[in-house]
Amino acid sequence: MAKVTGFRDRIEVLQGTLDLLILQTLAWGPQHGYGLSTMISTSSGNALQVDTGSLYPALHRLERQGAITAEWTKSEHNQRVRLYRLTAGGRRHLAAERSKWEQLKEAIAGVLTPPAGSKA
Amino acid sequence: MSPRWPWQRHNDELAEELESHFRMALADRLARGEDRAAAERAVRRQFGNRARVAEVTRSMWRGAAIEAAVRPVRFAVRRLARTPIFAAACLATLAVGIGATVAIFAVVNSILLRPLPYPEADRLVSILYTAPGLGMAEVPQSDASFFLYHDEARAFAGIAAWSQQPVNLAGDGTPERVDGLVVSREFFEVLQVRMELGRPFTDADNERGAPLTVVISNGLWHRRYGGAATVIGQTIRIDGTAAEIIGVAPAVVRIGGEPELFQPARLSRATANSGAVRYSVLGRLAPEATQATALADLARVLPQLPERYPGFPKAMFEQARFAPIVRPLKGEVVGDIGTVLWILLGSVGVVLVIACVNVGNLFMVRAEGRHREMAIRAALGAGQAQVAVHQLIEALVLAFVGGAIGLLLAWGGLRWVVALGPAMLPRLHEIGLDGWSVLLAVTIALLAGLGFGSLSALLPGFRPKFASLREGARGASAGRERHRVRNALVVLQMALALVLLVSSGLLWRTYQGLRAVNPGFSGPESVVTLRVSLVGEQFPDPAAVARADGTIRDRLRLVPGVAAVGAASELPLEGSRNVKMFVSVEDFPVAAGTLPPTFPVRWISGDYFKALGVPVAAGRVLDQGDDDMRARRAVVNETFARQHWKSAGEALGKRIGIRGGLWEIVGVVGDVREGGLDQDPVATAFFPTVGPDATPATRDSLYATPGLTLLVRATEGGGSALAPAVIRAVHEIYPDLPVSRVRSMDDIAQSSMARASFAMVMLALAAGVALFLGAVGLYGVISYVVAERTREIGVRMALGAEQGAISWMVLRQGFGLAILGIGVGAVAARAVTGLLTSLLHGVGPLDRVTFGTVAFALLAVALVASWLPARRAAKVDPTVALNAE
Repeated sequence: MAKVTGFRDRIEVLQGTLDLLILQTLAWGPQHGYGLSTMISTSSGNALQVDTGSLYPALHRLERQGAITAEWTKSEHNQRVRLYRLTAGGRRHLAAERSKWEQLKEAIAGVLTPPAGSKA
Repeated sequence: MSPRWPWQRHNDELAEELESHFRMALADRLARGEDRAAAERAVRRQFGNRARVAEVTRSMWRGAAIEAAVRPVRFAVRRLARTPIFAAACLATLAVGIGATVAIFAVVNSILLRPLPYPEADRLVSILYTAPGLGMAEVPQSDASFFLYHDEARAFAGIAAWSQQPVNLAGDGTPERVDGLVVSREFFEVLQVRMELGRPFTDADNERGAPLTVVISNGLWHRRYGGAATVIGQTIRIDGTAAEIIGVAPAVVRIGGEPELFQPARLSRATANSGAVRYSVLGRLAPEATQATALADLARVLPQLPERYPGFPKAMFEQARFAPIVRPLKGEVVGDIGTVLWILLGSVGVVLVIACVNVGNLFMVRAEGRHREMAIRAALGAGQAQVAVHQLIEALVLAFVGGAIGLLLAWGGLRWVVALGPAMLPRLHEIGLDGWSVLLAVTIALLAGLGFGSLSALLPGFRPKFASLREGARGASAGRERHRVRNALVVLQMALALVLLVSSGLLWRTYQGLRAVNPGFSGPESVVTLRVSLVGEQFPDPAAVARADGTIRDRLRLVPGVAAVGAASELPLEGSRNVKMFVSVEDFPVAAGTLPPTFPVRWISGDYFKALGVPVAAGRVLDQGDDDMRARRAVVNETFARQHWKSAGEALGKRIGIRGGLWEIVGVVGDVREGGLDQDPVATAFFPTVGPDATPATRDSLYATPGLTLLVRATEGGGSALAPAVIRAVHEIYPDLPVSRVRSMDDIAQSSMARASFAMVMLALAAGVALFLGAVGLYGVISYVVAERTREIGVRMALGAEQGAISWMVLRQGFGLAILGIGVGAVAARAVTGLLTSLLHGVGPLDRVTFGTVAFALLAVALVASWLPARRAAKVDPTVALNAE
């Protein structure tokens, strides 16, 4: 699975969250594999780095599931790249993943926040 | 370049995608001012193992591809599971149909089609004579003709002679009698087989007077010597003579039965005689030769025979019109079972067609049942193509699963047949499923699946239409075309079932006829027969053999429960080895220099006729007292007597000549079917075997083979019960003498009918299955029609129709189809039964009784099959029927 590398304060990407990261990033617009990995790391302030060994299997799996589609195009540097694009199904998937993530976040926050009234 | 497969293209694309990632990452680092070497290292580190990345990624879509293929099959299975009875009926029908077809095909393929297990086996031929001048279609070869062909014929790469020679084994282990061959030196060379162990025969082994050497079979090697390599050089006693084992022949050498021991024939040009026609000759065609050129070559050489070797004088040779026959060796091994097997294959093929028609019918009925479902699906946007594909996949799934079960059935069935080991099936150990059988099963499954699958989609009137939503709901009468197709299929089934029933009926009548045939002797169940071979040091000459014969018979007469004991050279009903000899009749002399007529001849001793139970027509039978051959008394059968004189009585006192001597006919016995139950009796002469008082002169002139079949008649009850006591009695006198082929005369009569009964049982099975499937098909169609017309019937009844009239309406339809089917079938059967002629005996291929009985029986079955739904129709409750839906 995805993990963060290169920095001491790295964060282990939770199982299943890579899909969310990919779908969310693609929501901004079509992107190729390398573009996705750089965007994820820049937008997380270099805290998250997705290694290729997780990224590409995830991309191809999402493609098979119909959440994203891919086509070959030329990049700005005139290089043949495989461009991934979010589908309508992918958008629904993203919304579902997001709400799941929100619930998880709140749940974890709930656990970490000491309950009112207790002596902490 | 070879075309790229889809998955290869996929691989290429993935590699390119990863490569572009790599290059972009590198370009970014270079743009940031890193030096090239450091940048590449960093990217590579970040990237990880590229092959592993590609592999993990690929696994994502490899699974997908499998799933894409499996998903529709899974759906099909799920849909089929919703109608388990339908699925089970289809599977069972297909499995039986395909299994039977594949099994019989495998038998046909193994026995008839596959070449013999020798290199270039299609070039192996057997060589015989035909002698129309003697009235003999086939005559074996002599050592003289073997040498002549061997030395002079040019069309052969090799020629070898062999002859059957069962032997008594002793020396180490229990004494036993085994089948064996004497073979000329070239035998193994012509077959091109390599010895499993040791060496084949050389010229030195074939020298007369050289120490005896033998080759044993693979089977004997394992049975008697546990497959030990030390067997080479060991001594074994063959008919009392010590012999050295020099080789082990591979298991494939199965010529002349299942020989277990090979001895050198030790033929010599110096002593060869063209009259000694007791050898079989096999040859391997030269590379450029064909059977036709080989035949011409032999025909060119053969006329030299009387000049080159003693035996037949030239005039006789020409009068006999000897001519060579060349035919594939396979025919020799396979025998006359071919017709039966092809007929069987044809009949299981017919069963398969009937089975497929039934499954097709089930599919159509189900498709109609699902008409509304289909229409709804179509209305919801499922394309017609999609619906058709679903149907097709379901059909293919059923067909292939059915085919797989069928293959299993065939495999099990064949193992069972081989284990059963019917003596009438040659090449038994070669029988098994091979690639061709599997291919046949797959092909049938594929065709059947495509057929059923497209049936409902392609036939007019089956396509889902929006109209169906209403039509089905209101129960309007079904399309005419649909009915026509289904009716045609039922008629086809009935017709095919009739063909099979008629065929099996004819064979049944043949079998019954054979059972009723009078073999010419009585009480066969009370007679036990056994074979002994009086060879070895104990029996140095024919006189000793004759004395031993007498001693054994005297001893056997003392066994409690024994009524009579006799012996003979050959048993009745086993005419395959019928020996014909020149027999002159004193009253009917032939011109000097021409050949006397030939007749089958039997040599007997003791109370042969009494033991066998042959009636006397005139005079008396030969008995113990006539073993003294100086008296020269003989017996002929009624046919022989009638052929020459007006009545049996007139034959008494007349004289017949064999090998120079004249013999007085003292009695005429009833005709016995010597050649088999289906062979009419022929004129036969009986002489006593050589007696103990034989002088050198007389013993050479007559029969003196040490192979002896004893016949023992019990005073009451089954003869088989006597067998243990009889064998014990023989061993009391000769402890080491193997006793073989212990059978009752009844067993022999049964095996004489083996071919007819085998064909009958198999065809009856096929016909039974066909009848059952045909009845089920008719029942299904009529039931469906009733279900479909329930509303209409309800209306009729509401309007006052009688129950009887309703039943009759339904019954009439079933009957109509059955009669049409019977008519078509009768015409087809008339054309087909001609193929059976060679298997029939005492009944013609167009036997009216059989045709009539079968047609009537089929009609009765059709009546039942239509009556059940008709009764249901009559019980329709109008109020329920009209309120339904």
